[in-house]
Amino acid sequence: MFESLMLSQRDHACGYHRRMADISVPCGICSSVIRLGDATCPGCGRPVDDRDRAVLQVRLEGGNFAAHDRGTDMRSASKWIGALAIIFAISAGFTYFMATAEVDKALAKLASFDDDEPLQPIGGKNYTAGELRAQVKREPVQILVVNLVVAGLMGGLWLWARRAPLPAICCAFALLVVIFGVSAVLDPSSMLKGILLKVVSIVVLYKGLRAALAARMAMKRPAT
Amino acid sequence: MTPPLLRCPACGVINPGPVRECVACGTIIPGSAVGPNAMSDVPSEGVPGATEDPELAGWRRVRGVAHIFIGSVAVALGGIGAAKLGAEELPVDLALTVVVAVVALTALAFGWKTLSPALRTTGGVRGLLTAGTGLVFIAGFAHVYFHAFRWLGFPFVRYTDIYIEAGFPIWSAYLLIALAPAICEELVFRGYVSARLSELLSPNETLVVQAALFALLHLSPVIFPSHLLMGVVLGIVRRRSGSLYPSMLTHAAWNAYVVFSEVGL
Repeated sequence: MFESLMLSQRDHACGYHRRMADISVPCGICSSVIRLGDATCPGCGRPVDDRDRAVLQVRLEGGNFAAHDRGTDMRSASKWIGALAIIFAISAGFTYFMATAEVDKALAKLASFDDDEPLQPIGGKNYTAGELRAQVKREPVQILVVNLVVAGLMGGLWLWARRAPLPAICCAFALLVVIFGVSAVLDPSSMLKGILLKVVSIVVLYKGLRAALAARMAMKRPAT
Repeated sequence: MTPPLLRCPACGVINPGPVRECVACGTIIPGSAVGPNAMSDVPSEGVPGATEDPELAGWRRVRGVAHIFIGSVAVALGGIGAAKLGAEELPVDLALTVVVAVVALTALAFGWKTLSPALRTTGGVRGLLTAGTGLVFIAGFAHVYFHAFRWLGFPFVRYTDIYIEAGFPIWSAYLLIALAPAICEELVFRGYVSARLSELLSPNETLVVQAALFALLHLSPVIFPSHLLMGVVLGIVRRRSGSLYPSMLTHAAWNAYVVFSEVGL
């Protein structure tokens, strides 16, 4: 009875270990077996790269429900980062054209002033009509540049998230928190604009971040 | 991989892992795979050796970074909000400097174990060389980047004006704008944040994420790319020199150059 109990426990543990040890990928250089959690190839010593990790992740998900769920959350977050890149790119064009229309109205109002004529202070700063005209003309381009920078960052993070989800989702989440925070402080009325999109973005990225964190820890071999 | 054999301290029977209690006498075995002092390599999930919820374990490693980032963003947004509501710029700026110093000291206190090796060495000649190379790279890039910035008509913030207008001596501008932020930000980002992130991320991922957080805390999407690159360069300086002082030197030298270009000596 006692021996059979010991055997069953050993078999259980060995079986589990065997399942984990089965999750492996051959090294592209020396064909040694790289196992889950290896930082380097045990044969040639090259660092395990993102492609190896991706294959290991897929194989891990094949036999583990928790890992599969995490993978789903991470992929949703990665796709959402890509969607945000597209949304920011589209809104860049949209806001550019809206700002251009506003510029035309502002320039029409300033048309009666000479370039050197001083104006009332705006936001504590003194402008001449010429300076303000130049500033107003530049504004649409500035808005376009800011939105395109954010879209470009999100696009880069989307590409990165496909290879290394944890750092990319972490950066995207932090970027969104800062963008939403700054826009809310600078213009409190903008807080409710696109609130659904903001909430969905934060929730999806938060879930993805948690999943990526757990996945990275699950694939990490502890120091012995 | 074979499971560890754990000898029961009470009855001496050798138990196969994972067991919390001795299968013969029921005594809780210290260091067993499923006990609080687990140290065997029997997994709960994922890689052999993971003995706790992986999400919790991951969070435990980076929660300090999350607290610092969210707290600092909140404080910086508070500063912007106060300025927008018409508060005097100088007290807000000084308060932010004090808060940054407190954050840096807190990070130093909590991360002393991991930061102390990088503070006990100066990096020597190698450190000086990497600091110099980093400075040249940052200055070269920043000149091109901010030239484009100016060409697009983005407003330039003059950091020294509020101090000079309030009658502060010029050296105080160097102290408060160049030196203090350099020391504090390096302690936080290249020190504490990098050390914490490196427990979870690869070295290159750590480099990029700490630089991204550093750039994001400046709260401007327009200067994000330039500060991201600065953060990466300062992280490389820190990594190659093995010390925090060279990156502090590079950071302070760049800040001092900005102050010098505004007010001279």
